[in-house]
Amino acid sequence: MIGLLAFYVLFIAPAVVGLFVNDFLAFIISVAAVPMVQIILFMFFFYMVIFPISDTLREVQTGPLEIFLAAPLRPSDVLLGEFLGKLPFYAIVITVITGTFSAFLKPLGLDMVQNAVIIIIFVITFFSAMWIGTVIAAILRTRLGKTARGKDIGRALAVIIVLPMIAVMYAIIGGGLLKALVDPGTSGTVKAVLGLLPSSWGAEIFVSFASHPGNIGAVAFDALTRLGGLIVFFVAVLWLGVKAANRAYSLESVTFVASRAKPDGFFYKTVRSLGGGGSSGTLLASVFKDYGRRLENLSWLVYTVGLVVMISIFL
Amino acid sequence: MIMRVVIRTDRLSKYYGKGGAVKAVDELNLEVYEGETFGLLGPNGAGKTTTVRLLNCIIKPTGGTATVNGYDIVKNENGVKRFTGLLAESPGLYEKLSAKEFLEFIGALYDVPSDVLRERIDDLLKLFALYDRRDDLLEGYSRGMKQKVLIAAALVHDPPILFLDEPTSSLDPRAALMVKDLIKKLADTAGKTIFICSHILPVVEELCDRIGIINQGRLVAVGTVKEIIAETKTRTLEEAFMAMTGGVEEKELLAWREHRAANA
Repeated sequence: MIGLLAFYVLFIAPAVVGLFVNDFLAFIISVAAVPMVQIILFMFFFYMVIFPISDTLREVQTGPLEIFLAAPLRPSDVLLGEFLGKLPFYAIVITVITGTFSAFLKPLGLDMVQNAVIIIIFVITFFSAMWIGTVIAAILRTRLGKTARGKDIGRALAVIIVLPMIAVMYAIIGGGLLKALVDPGTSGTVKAVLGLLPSSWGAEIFVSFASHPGNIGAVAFDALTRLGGLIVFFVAVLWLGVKAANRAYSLESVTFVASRAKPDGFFYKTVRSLGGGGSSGTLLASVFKDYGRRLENLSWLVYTVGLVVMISIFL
Repeated sequence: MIMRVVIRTDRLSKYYGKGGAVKAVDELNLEVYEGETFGLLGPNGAGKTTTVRLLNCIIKPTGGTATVNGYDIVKNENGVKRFTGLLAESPGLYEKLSAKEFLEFIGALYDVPSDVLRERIDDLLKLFALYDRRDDLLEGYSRGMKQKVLIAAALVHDPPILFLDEPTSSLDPRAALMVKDLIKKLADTAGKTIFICSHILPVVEELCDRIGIINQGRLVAVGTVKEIIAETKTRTLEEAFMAMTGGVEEKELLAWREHRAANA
């Protein structure tokens, strides 16, 4: 597998990118380069945080937790095991993205060190994102998996959690986000906000290398500072994740409060009447209650409405 | 003969909520001897699973102490965990693993050397009549077969003390019988100390040397079935159980139904 991934980075990605490189090269040296790379890296960063969370929320299960907690293991070992177990799949994603980006940079004439630094930036940024996602997913699973209500909330969140990501994509595709970012007047705030995020620290190195290809000395201090910041960030999230593992792996009960049904109000009384009253009215109201009390169903409604709104705004 | 105590609890408690409003386990004093099969009997929500989780260091007590095989459950968690095997009430299986892969995974969690592990997995799969289907993914197993895999998983590191939380509650009669036979075999031939939690009276009555009855977090009786029946001046374990766990209300309810039927 490693051979296949290396083959992709060294041969396939450059060949594919070569078909479009002229347009990209023109773009990368334009004023849009910084915000564009920033937003792309931010999107990948966000996606990689969300992916393990969404995956966990779809089916919140605490069953295997009891097996882990009964074994002579530290919670941090379990967390690391969970992360490392999924790493081969993450590695494929990271390789594909990194390979494609480094292929885009090839015509700029970056030297070996610059290329290596860029690959390191991508790997650290995405590993940090996936680690953050894994830790948050583990905490959410523990918090939500103990009660039926929590599981319901988890499934509902799994549906709508991707909406912000879709909004950004629609804004890029049809909302003129990139065009707006090219304009220094409008991109200032976005750039300032994105600049605070770790995904941007690497993006700025990326762009500084593109401005000084083959001349790392010209941007060495800046690059080292940002790379150092990124490494410190990675170590910090790793440490915080390990520290949070005790909270992430616990079967201590958080609540004994069960969800309760309220007496039928105006709405259900109306549904009952519309159903013809009697048994058929009761049946209709019961189905309504069962459907409506599942947050997942409501969140699908929110998701659909959100999509429609975004389509009408951006496309 | 002096019997060695392998599980000892001293006013072990687990309270939840503000001011300890919910007493899941309340000042539990218990001794379980080496090699015996002990049953903790109680209605749903009585504190059985909480007790098992406390004794397996899965949750921490809010009061009292306990030792398992001489190790303190708070001060030496790993010491306890190396000597215990747990069949949880509703454990999660990795359904995309085969029985053999799942047992390898569990063995790895307990650091069982790989050569020993291979041999032990084969032995367990043969003992539980799963050897021919060892490479089938667990998603294709029946509930009874999954339960057998989980019992095998609890045994894969060969612990001297085995905790079985509701081992037959979700099984059909055939699978329940199969699991009961397995537990008997383990107690008789492997010499394990077995701690069973259940609300199913015949299971406990049939398998256990001694039983404890827990109700609303408090241990209300301990002894052999005969001793408990004698203590409650009843005729069967069922009656004794009802007497000790609020069965009077149920009797009253039945009496009301009988009364209604007579009037009809």
